[in-house]
Amino acid sequence: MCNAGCGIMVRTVMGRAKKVEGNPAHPVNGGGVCALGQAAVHQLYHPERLKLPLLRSGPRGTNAFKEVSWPDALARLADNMKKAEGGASYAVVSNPHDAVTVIASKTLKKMGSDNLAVQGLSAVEGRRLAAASALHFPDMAKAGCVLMLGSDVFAGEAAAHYGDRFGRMRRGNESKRGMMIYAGTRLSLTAASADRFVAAKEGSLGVLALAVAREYVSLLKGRGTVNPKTAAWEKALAGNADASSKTGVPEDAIKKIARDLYEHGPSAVIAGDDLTAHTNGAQALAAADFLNSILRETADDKDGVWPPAEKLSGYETIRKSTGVPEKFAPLGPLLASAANGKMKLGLIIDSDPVQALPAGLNARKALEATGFVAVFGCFLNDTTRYADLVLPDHQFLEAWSAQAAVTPHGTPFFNAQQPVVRPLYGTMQSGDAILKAATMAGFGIGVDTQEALLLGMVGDLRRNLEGVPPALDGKKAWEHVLQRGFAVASAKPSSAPGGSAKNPEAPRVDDPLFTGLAPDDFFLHPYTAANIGDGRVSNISWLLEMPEPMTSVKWGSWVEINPKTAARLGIADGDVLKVETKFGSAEAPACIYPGIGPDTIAMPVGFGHLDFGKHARGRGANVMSIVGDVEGKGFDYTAFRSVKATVTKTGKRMELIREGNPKGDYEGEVFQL
Amino acid sequence: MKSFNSNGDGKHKWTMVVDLDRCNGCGACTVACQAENNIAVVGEKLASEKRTMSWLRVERYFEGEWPDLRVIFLPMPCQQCGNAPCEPVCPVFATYRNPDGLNAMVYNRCVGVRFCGNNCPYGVRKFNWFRYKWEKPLQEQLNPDVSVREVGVMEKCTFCMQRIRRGKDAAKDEARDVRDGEVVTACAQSCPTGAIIFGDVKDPESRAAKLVKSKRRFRLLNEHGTEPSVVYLKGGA
Repeated sequence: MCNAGCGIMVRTVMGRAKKVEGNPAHPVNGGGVCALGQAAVHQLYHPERLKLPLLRSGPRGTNAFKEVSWPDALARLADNMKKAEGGASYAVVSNPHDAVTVIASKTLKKMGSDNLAVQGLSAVEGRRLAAASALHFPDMAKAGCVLMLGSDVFAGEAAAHYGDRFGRMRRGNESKRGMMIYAGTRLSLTAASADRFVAAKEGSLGVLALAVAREYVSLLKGRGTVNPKTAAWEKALAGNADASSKTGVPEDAIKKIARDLYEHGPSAVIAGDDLTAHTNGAQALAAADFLNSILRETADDKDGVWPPAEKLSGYETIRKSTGVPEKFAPLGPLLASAANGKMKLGLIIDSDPVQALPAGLNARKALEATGFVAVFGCFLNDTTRYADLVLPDHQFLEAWSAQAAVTPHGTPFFNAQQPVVRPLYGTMQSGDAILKAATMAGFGIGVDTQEALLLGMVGDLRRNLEGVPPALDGKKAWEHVLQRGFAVASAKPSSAPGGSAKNPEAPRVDDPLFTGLAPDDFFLHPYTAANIGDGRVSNISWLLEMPEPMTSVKWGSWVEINPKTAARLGIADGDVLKVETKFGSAEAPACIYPGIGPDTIAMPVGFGHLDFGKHARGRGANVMSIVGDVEGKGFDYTAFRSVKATVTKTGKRMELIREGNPKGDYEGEVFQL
Repeated sequence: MKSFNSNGDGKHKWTMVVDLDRCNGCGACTVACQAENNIAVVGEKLASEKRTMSWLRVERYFEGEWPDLRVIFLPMPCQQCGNAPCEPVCPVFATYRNPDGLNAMVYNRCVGVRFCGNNCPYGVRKFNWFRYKWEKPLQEQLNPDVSVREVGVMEKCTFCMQRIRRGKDAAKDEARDVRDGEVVTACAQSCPTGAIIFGDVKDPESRAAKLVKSKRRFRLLNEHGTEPSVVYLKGGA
């Protein structure tokens, strides 16, 4: 459902899964579970799950299939694996940390390919894969003040983790309340909980980070805090004088942020999509790191905002033992080479690139030009339309698996996952299916089943996991970890990560580039909403009926527009708008939303499936279908907010379904606390 | 009229504390409640008529104008009033106060006059106007500890009565008192931020008993004299 790796326990009664509950000991979620996690049981018993392998029986693009047996399906897959030997195969996965990704990676290597990509890997998450620097892992719970640079962490991946850390920061200690400042272009779910919201222009958060850093350093100097690097920092930050006009944040507001970071320290910056989803995203992320390095070096970090290098370096050991890749192939070039007919085999595992990726990446064309496409998953979706073979996967509550990852606050962990119910149908775990076909094709990796691979992993790992008695052999160690659900990697003496020893150099942040049709176009702000996430769960009625927290809209998508802008353009709530970009157009009803700037429109991702069962098909608009690249910049997934759009009224109406009471809604003065 | 209502003289007084300074409005509690209590999905059409069956909703209030905005989230379950407006209007005593101080519903007594829902100032009672379906095999997920309500009856949050009962039974089997934290409602258990704290305020050592003394405490529409068992803690510094 997502890649966070929360520890969960499932209440079962007479062999049926009833309720997902959080594992209170787990370092990711600390006992909480988000709405998506709760809905896992609904996904397990979803009426539209696939039950047998499907072979394409009509033209691509129609989702016309006939059922075939597993031996037949695997033989076909093996046959096409043989044909694709060399570099002519690729795979797209959704979870970079999972055992099935390890199997895909190893099998591809055996076939002579390293084309393994992750669908929708955010820049921030991608960096965590390497776990190279403690600067990327601040713990909000321990901070006195956090500056969120456009990071809507409560609605995105690891929402339960950040919720836990946020709760602890705010009221973990009744006498010391942590402060949260949110700077961004939209009042997101996370911004709603911040003590202060600072509105900044699209693509300007990198500049804001540097401006805050400059003010912070001048505060250091002014208040006599001695640090040998102060002069070097000052010099490095000297060139950012016009930050206020670039960011749209008044000079005194920038100063106030710096003052809060200084006075309430230890402080940290947490970077997110508003910062990275632009053409200057990499530079902006470096700017946020630079600010973090100053905050880290000048604060008294006795509480442990930053994970110690020894703790973080435990990840390298578990990553190597498990075989979780450190880097993935960038999606842009990979899909482009597939679209040019260079690929004979594509494995699409638990992902839906046709729906979820920006149209500019042209995943559809890539799949159409691929010789043979095998899709592994629980449901038919937009991507299976281009599949030659669909292999039904176990839902994760029926599967053996494991994940090796680092929590966003820097704790490397290994998750062991066991089935909680017998498989409902004749499905096969994707890892097992790949292993079986690969063995038949002569690309076996030495294990026959995913379970055997997991046992092997723990055999290598067990001495590097905390709390696993050294006397246990591989099998016993695996059982030991299974009983707890996870184990934390033991700390390793290390010199490498965590350092900021180098002399600081402030990164340059260029102006963001946008592709639009006219100069007064709106910035288009696609974002992940808390109810249906990235769209992998938009066929689940529990989540469709859950109101999106900020707009309270359910059962559909919308276009958020500022009340004043709407009044100027004569747009009323529920007017269907046509949103047009250089890459296409989409229609959705207007949602008058006070938390969006007058020059921006926002749309949630994950809607507008061409196919994904009766609840998702045709519901809402797919904003990613109108997102593409900025000319000449090259394009990977990450710069998905670099498009501008025009908005026109279509004359149609579609009342938004909102939370409310049939007796009528409360409409009075705002509730005062 | 003879009252079936207890004066809360039982051994327990279950209380929910909701810390609005922790609540981030994510909505995990609402889906946890749905999973635990067999709450029907009504579908797009009925949802557009605002006939959703959710027992717990998260209200959100905006204050100000872009960019100077403040947002407040407020999870709203049944307040389990000590002096409940829903109880005296029920002609058949289908809703009554049990010895633990909870407003309980006896579904098979309910005749569906909906006076209780009309009288509830919090709007947390939901009426089964229709018969909702669980498309196969979704019925496999239904919680066997909670009855699936029929058409024509009123329903609402029970403070996860089935979990309270399970906790009390376990304690009784071991001849001890219920421990603090042993009974948690589904919403409290799922809450990522730890904003919902559930406990027995008759146990002076319980977290809930300590938190209800917080200076930040308030109760919703307390001026109506409803004596809610849900205590909110104000947000802000």
